[in-house]
Amino acid sequence: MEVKEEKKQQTGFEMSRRDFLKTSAAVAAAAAIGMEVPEDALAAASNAEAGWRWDKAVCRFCGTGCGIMIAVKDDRIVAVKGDPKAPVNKGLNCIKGYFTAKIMYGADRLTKPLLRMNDRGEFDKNGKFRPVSWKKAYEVMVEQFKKAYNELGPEGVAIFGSGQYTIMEGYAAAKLMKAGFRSNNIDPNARHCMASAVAAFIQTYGIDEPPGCYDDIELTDTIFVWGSNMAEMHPILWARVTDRKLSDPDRVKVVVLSTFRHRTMDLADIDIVFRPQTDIAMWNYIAREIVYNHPEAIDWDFVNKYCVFTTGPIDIGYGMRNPDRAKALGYSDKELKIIKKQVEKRVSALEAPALSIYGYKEGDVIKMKHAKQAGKHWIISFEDFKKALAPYTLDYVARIAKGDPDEPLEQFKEKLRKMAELYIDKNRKALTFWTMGFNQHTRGTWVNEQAYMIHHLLGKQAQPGNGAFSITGQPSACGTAREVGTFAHRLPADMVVFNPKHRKISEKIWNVPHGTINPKVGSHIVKIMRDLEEGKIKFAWVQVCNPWQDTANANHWIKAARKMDNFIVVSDSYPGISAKVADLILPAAMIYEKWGAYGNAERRTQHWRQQVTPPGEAMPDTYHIVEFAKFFKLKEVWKEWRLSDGTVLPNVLDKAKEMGYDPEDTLYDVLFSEKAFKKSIPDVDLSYPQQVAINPNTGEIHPNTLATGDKRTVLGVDGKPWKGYGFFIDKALWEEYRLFGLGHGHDLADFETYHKVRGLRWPVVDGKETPWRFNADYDPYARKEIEAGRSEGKFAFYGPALKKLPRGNLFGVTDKKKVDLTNKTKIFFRPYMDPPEPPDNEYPFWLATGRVLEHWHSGTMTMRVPELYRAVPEALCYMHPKDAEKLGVKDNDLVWIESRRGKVKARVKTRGRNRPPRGLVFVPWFDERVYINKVTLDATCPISKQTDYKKCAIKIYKA
Amino acid sequence: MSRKMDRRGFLKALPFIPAATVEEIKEPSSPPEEELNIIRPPYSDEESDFSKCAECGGSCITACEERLLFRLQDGSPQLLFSDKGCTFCKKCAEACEFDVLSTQKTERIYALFKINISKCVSWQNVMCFSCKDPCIDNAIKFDGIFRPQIIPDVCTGCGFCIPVCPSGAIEVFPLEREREKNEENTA
Repeated sequence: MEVKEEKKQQTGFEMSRRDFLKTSAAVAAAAAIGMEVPEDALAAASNAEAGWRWDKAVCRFCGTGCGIMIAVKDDRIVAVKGDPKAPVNKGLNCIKGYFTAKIMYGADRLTKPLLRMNDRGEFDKNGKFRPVSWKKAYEVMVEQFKKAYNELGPEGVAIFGSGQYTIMEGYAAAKLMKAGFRSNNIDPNARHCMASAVAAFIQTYGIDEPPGCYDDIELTDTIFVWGSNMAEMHPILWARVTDRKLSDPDRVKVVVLSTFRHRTMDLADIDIVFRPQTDIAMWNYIAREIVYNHPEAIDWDFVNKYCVFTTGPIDIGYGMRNPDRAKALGYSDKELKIIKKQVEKRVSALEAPALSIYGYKEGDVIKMKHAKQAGKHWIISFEDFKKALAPYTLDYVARIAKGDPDEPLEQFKEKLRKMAELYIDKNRKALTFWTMGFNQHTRGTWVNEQAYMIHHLLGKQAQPGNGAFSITGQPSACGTAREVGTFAHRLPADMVVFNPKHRKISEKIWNVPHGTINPKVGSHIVKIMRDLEEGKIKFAWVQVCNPWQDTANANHWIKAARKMDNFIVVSDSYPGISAKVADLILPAAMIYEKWGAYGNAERRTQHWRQQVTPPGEAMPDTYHIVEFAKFFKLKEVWKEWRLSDGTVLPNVLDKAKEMGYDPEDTLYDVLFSEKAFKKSIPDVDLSYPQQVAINPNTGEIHPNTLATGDKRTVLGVDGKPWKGYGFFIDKALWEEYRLFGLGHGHDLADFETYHKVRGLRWPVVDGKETPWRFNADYDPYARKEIEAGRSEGKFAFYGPALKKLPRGNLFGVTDKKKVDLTNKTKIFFRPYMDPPEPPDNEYPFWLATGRVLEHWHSGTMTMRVPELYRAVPEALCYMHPKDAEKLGVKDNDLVWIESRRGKVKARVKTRGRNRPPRGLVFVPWFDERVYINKVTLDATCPISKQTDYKKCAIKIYKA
Repeated sequence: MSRKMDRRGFLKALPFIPAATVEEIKEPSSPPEEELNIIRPPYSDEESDFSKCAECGGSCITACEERLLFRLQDGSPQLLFSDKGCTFCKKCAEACEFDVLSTQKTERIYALFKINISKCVSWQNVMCFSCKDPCIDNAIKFDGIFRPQIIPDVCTGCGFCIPVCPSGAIEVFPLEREREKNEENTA
């Protein structure tokens, strides 16, 4: 406890034992404010609020999904507050959420389409951006799209999608690409954020998204935070964790693991600073402790009834380019040194003991033979599982995992031992959280699977207070990117393009001919960049994201964007780096300027109404997408296509005719017109206004730019004043989308319901949400499986994907006959392996990148909020004071941060909120002036294709 | 990054305009108040004789790397916080030729830093720790994760918390040292 006292002093966070959240809510709302503000001032304030129209909405930023209340006066948002009725945040806000409305009122908001033109008013790749009409913008855009599409087919065009799309926008974009253009080249920035979590959910459970929910925080007594700085990135969840800790500080234990110290560690009972990538080894140490030293802790009933042991190949590469290809494209020798590890690598001293179970020793060469089948896995015996864990002794793991060179080894060992004890303790519940530390990892899927490994062994999963819970980064990474399936391989509701049954279901709901959907997986987001560089994709459309700032190894992609025959369109609200490298910029409406819905990390779907009119000529992204569909006739897209690998997409025009379509019909007619929705959702009232449009407090009708147009009468893509689609298209998109999930474990409620409640966690069955999935006490789908005799006891892990597996041993499949794993889940063994670019003599530092509390992602929105800018005006290079001393720099000095790929300048900070150990620096990526993704490595998890932004080697010197 | 200063700060910084508000100029009958409005550089105390500054060319002012010091009409230095704070680098004291500032004296700026709780967003249930970061002395205590307060005994007055506060809630009040002493004695 003495150590603890000392830490309190250091951190400045007073640890009061009161249930401070409760008192805080009461005191701050009433006493604190009332105390300070005189009575007459209070009365004046409430008079001023008289003309305000309050309505519930959702925060624009992280995946927590806080409810906020928005006040509108004279078509402008005048106030925001935490929604006291929102179960997620209970009236609290973080600093970003508090200023969320201000993001819409930045001085350089994009209000007109901008096109690069020459002096004659023609599109010119080397021209300057000039304002054009929507009509001109779409003329050029359509021409450029058709050029690429006709030359390269459906593979030659792409959309950079988003985990920040509203659900309706993402659904419209996916429908246009997959059912219209027959292209699977749509992939969201959520690939950079959640893909490893998704891959592990599918591999382990056969269905995406966490079994548990946020209620677990209040119901658990042991919280483990791996690779997540919740205090800054998910502050409201952290407020709940803090509340839980302070309400019972002796009982509740918090363990925080990271490669550097940060604010989340301030609350930790055990703080573990580990060497990057060794999280895998630490998981295996815990598993070894359980299996070898505490076998009584294994919940054999749970394991025998619901689990199988599994493993997969290790020679899977690092998701980098093929080195020969890279060489041909002119990658430097320095870069190639790392890229070569995609094909083979030498076993290092660090990983040799771990890989000894496969017969490898230090210096041996591993040839990456399974790079293309990285996700393949098979059933192994418990004996094999146990054997594989043998090398992960405390001595070995502590030796490779200790991340702070100044920490005594014995102290580090003691922490590992205590952490394992907390997991193992049968009298404790266990709640494990993680975010980008796991997901942005060249073995990201593995390390996610390992969390389930421990929770399954101990039977601490899918129960109140017990669970391994992947927190989401973006506001609708779950709701849109994952559930709608705006990925290169996905269709809505966990379906995939390579499954013929899934294509058929989707084609039926979409009322498009059988055979329309392209069965070949498209390019994931990193590959879209690589394809642009190689000339395989020549038209790319950026929607609700900023890929030129957020994709690693950015120098290559800037060059690719400016290649003469590539055409880049960016739909955005502010000019970020992507807009600057683009050829055409389309002004987009922002969150409260349109109707929408997001889905958060605990499967909670939340809708909001349009509150205000967008500025200038900015229009909702749905407009950008749906209007584009008007320029394509069926005969142009549903003809026969031959893909690059020889796959033939059949001509479906004859079938289309049988369905009553004319080859001269446009994609708008077939996919987005009121007539189209009358086919898929004939019984839904799509008129506007309707009941749901009425503000519950004032009775006013909310605006709906898409349905009825608005006061501006913007001249649309046809040059005529925009009067709306004439029907409630957001509701239509929602209700049609909903058809995919009904009855399949992804049930969502109807449009009206969400406007009455503060969100619901799917599956929503008979109007009831599901807090814990797979658990028959809470999940009707699990109940159904048990009642039908397909599972026993209390659980049914009913996810359908990857549930037929062959048997094998640690080396591979030995019996190809597939075993049926219906209603079961998996316990994976995954070995420790080095990352592809650890520091060396020339590049002696680790670089980890990430976010700060005050800024969202690439800063395009939050850097425009004066208060947030003021709080954190620039990205800093957080560094250990001794490293700074060695480099001869002090705080605020500029340094160059240089890798094999690029370099940037940043100011040094040695005593800030992040306190790295010697040998590692942390640089946030929000600041386009500190363009850190020029430095990072575009290696990915080979299974999930998610980039590892947390580890590359750099050198630092005074600028 | 450009150095920003509000209008009031800018006016105050002009060498020959007295550091007083318009109201004060209208009521010249209260000159002692003026003294209260001045924040002096660190390395000074109640015995520091700022009248000596009249003879000096302002060596402390040019020595300040953070450019926080400005010359008043009587030649004495005034400290004004801007987008930076004092690093206590001692350069002002080392530059002083008249022993007004001295490295022998306390490394602290005599000013009272207070969080205005009606402006501070953390007092309104908003998670914000902007002021905590730059406070290397840990003088800002949070009650759990909300309601920060500055502990006067720990605060050195460096001022780095002022520019980063998103709502401008950190207010600075010059301390008249003798009075502070008296208050301490009676407290």
